[in-house]
Amino acid sequence: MLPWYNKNKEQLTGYLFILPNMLGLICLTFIPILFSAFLSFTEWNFLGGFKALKWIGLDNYFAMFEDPWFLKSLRNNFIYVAITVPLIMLFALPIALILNSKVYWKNLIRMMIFMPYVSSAVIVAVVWGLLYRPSEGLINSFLRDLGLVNPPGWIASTTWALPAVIIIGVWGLIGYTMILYLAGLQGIPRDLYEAAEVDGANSMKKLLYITVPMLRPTTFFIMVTLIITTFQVFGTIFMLTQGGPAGSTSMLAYYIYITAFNFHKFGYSSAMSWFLFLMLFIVTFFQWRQQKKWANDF
Amino acid sequence: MERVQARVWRVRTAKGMLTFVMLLLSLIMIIPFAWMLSTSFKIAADVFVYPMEWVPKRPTLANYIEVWAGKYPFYTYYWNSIKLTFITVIGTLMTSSMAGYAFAKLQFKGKEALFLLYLATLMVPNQVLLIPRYILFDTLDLVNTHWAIILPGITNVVSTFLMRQFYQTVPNDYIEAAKLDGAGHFYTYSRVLTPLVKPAVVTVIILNFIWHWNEFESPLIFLHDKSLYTIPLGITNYTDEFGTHYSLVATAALCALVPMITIYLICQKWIVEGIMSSGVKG
Amino acid sequence: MKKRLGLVLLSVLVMAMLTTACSGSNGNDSGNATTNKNNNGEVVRLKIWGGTPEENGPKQVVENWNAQNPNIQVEYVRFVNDDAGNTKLDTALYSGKDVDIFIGYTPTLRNKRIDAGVVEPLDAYINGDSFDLDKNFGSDNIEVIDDHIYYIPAQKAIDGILINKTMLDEIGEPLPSADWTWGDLADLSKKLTTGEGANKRYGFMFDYATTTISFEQYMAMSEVGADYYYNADGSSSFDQSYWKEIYALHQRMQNVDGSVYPYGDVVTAKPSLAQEFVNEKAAMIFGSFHIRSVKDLENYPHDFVTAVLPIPTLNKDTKSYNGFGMQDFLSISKNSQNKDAAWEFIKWYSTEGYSPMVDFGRVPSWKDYDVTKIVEQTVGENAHLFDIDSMKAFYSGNYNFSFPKNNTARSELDKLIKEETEQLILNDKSIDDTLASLKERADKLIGERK
Repeated sequence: MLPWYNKNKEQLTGYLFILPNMLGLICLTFIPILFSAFLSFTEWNFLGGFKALKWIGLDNYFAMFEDPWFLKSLRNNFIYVAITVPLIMLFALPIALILNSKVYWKNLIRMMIFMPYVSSAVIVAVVWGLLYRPSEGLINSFLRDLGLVNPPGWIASTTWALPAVIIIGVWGLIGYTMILYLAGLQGIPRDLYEAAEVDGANSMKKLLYITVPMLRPTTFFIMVTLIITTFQVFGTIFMLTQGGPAGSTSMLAYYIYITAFNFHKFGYSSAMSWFLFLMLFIVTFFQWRQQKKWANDF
Repeated sequence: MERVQARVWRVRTAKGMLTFVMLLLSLIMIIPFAWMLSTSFKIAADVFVYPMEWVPKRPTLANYIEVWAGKYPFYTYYWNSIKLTFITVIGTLMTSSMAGYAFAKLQFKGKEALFLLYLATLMVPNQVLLIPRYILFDTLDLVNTHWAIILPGITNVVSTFLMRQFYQTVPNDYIEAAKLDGAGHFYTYSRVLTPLVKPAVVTVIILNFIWHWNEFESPLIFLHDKSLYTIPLGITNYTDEFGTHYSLVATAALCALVPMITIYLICQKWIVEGIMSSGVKG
Repeated sequence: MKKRLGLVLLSVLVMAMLTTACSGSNGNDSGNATTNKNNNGEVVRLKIWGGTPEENGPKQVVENWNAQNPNIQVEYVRFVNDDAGNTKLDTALYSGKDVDIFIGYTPTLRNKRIDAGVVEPLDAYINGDSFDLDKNFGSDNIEVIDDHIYYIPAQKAIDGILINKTMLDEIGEPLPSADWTWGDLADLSKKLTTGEGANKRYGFMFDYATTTISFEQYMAMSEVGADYYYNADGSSSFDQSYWKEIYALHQRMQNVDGSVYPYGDVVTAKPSLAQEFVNEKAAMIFGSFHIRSVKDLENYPHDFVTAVLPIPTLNKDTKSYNGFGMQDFLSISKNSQNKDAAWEFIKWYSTEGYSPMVDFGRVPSWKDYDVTKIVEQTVGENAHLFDIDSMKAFYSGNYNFSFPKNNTARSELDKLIKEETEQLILNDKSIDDTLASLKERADKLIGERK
């Protein structure tokens, strides 16, 4: 076979392989996404149909930066992501490493740690509400037993609510990150370690020179998805705090939601979504470049 | 001899201590589960009693009876959830592994740009797409059918991304070897590479199962007929304009956990068995 | 190149096949929603959307109707009356499928739907049938919007307070009269508060967590009616003296007397009011609708007597309002194919058809419904646990209800007032600062929406 034909064949195979996935994506996701981009330049009560659409240009985008609720949500969201993601990564990798080898009842413990991710958001919100109850909640009772006279008000306090929500975020996503790391660890060929052992490498060296590098693609995946997930945190906020008290836990996805479905400003809510999109895209793009650079170095 | 014995003991103590620490951690993780379990045996007046009551003072089986044999057909929701989740998970697995393979191992024009575009779709919050999607599905006549949930579910970007990352870790030698044996790309993908990324396949199954099992907003907006409802929609029956009946919600949610745990356990067993046979041969 | 073109064509074909397959599976269901011919003539099928869970009355209503009307068969679709649920209803109204009648609960949402033109005006049906609105519901109780009637209210929602009468007797206090004030409530609440820590019993409890209208709003509404947010000139009303009174009272109850269930505990743990009431942790609770739980001894065992009073007023000598009043707005979708049949159902449901709903604590708006029967149905089997005299007075009282006429940025103002109230209650922001900041921000929000 001629080389050019071969190359073309690989191209075609490539397209064919992504076709089923791509088709659905174009029809069911791209079109709505483009439509929402269009909406971000309008004012619209969708119930009135397309005749109720009013083109207002960039007004929605300007309005954002004078909207104290948006700015506060943006600020809260940045703090939330900046603390939650590193904390999750910090906990999840050691847990995965430990659960990949050195303990009894591995499967049981893995299952238990994965539990928060499996549980429905409603239940999670109710339970944390009970735990955080300022007067007689489990956490504050415990802190009082330890001798703390004035334990924090948690979700009933404008200073402690954001940390409280961050704790729930970390707690809820450790399981997710852990099973991804476990999958990554199980994909590392055993003989790499065997070869290293023959060369006399200790555990630390094996970790640094085999495990961590081999986990890079997984880590990249985890970073990207965690940043996107935490930037779009919604369930806890919606069900537990409603952005309160006094806006101290308001986040973008939550504000976008109530703008659309409570204030009925679809155009404005789409504009904010596109702002969130742009931010995430820039962050992801840099991560992507970083990862490619590493892939070339490797 | 004694020294070996001592070493064995040291290792065992270390292992035991790590187990202990991990168990403590897992206790914090299963609090919601414990709460569901205890609440499912409580009467409504005891759900929020203070201080927290882990063992019901006035235990009852009424919640289980109400959920399974009460006014609402929970088994119908259950069946719908199982059906939708299974179809979606299998569909996702096929489309995303193929696309992931292509993005990881095949060369074609516009690959990088296309992949970034893929990732980009994750970044628009889902809530804002509900109305545009509804309008689209309405014109396609998909509203009030299970297809409105299955079709978008099948084309899951996160799964494609995950598969791509794992296919990338497989050395290209495998593909070259398969090529020398005269294998086509489909054969290489399905018979050579996919078995090597079993942990990823399993993870895709587990994650998608959870996502679709717990999916709330899309089914809420797209399904009208009660006979099509899934478990999360069915659970809203226990909320009325005056409040939520949490002992019933907890019971239903607890019952809804069973398939997820089962899938998780089956999958986990499968990885552990699989890993033995998939080492890279020098 | 040709190959790629083929690929595109193929994909279009696959997509087309998929969509036909999907719509095919749905064909039967949606076909039923319109009309089906059979030998006896036409059987009309109606879909009715409502927010009440099916088993809390609507199922019985539907069965009753279907038994009496073989030619008009109705089906009930339930939506949860929250943002997501209302969006579900809105999308269905938008597409015009699967909805003939819908029941609304919030005046602002109702008006939004009328504005968008998805609600059928009922004037022609009312006049054609000479259906007497005044005789049936009182014509003051139905709002005329842009010279049209768009809805029939089926329920009379009287805002009330449940009181543990046994506790009142224990401290030797009489049941307050129906024209009591919020100040009286605060005093009584203080007297009823006992104990410390986990054993503390609060005099009063308000559901700060899930009620969409805040405590302040209820108090303001009782004083000036539903347009409590706005001055006559359209600006925000936070410069009016009633807000100062309201905040002073709430602050006293929460932070000085400690006689209300703490704000922080309610928004965090979201305890159920009915539970705290029957477990004797709260002596009075806001919301007469909790009777429905209180009478359920299986889930809420207790042995004290419950009395009910209408919500208090701010000042005894001014005209007071009980709330939005009439509710369960029955409307016909503009896109319904069976509007005549839908009207028949509405007529029946808003009058004699409402009975099964009364068992679940809803008060019919129909004037001919006997008060004794309402009380009987509401308390059910456990009449001995209710103070029947107070209930009779409650359900037969003469109340001023109030329609919200101005709704500029109302949802945003709801969010704003919650936020500022939290600053006041949780962070001890002063009343004057709170009101100043409320006034400034509210005027801005109103200005943006004009």
